Amino acid sequence: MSWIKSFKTLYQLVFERRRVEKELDAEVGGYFEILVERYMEQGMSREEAQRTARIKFDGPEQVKQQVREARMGAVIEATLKDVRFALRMLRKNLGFTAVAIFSLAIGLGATSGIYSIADALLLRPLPVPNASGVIALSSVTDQLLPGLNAISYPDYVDLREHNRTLRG
Amino acid sequence: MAKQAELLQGTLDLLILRTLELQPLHGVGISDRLEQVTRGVFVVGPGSLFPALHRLAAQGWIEGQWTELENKRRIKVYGLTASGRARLAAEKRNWQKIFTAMNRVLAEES
Repeated sequence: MSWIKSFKTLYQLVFERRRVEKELDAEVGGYFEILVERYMEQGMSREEAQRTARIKFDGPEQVKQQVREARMGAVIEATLKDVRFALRMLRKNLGFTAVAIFSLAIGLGATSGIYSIADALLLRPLPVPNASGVIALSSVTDQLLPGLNAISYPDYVDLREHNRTLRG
Repeated sequence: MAKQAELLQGTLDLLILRTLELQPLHGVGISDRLEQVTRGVFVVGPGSLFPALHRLAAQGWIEGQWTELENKRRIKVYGLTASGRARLAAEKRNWQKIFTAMNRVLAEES
């Protein structure tokens, strides 16, 4: 519908203010210029013609201000209309709304859950004193299952009892 | 100049759209045309014309185009868009409805 258009207007309102202002100035200025020329054709001097145009209609500055307000009003109105439309549609399709909210909730929950785990495991130091001194021990064997390099509990006890290199 | 009538709220859009249906025009052209066709009953000053034009443009019903005249003056000429045409048709129907209803009320015998 007209949302592309109102997005464009909003974009111009925010990012192209100067260009829009310049165009508006040229447009309204051109209008008054034509009026002034008409009065001058009726035999008025330039100043007289300008004054007459200003008296008959609002001055260019007021006109421009009114245009600015109208543009802003159109954007706000269009946005409100879109929001109302969206809410109405959501209420009309309760099933869809439920699915959408549910998926969003699951998605957000899963993402923040995974991130919390990654944060605790990878990003933060281990929750022990002198975390940078903690090392991982593994055993190397030349046989049996490759990749299985865990240390058995007796080995662990042995290491703990006879350790002179490491603390703890 | 004949007596001016007050513009009904909301009719300015219809007047502008209808005027641009015949041919694209710039601001002064629209004012002139309206004044001419209504024999001076509707005088649309820039203070109401330009806000209306920009509002209609923001809705996408009309589109402004900068054009250069022979005397090197640049003017912004407005033309009706496709959605503007549809809007005009809807507004015309609406106006007919109001017009008929109004006349019925006024013509009612007491």
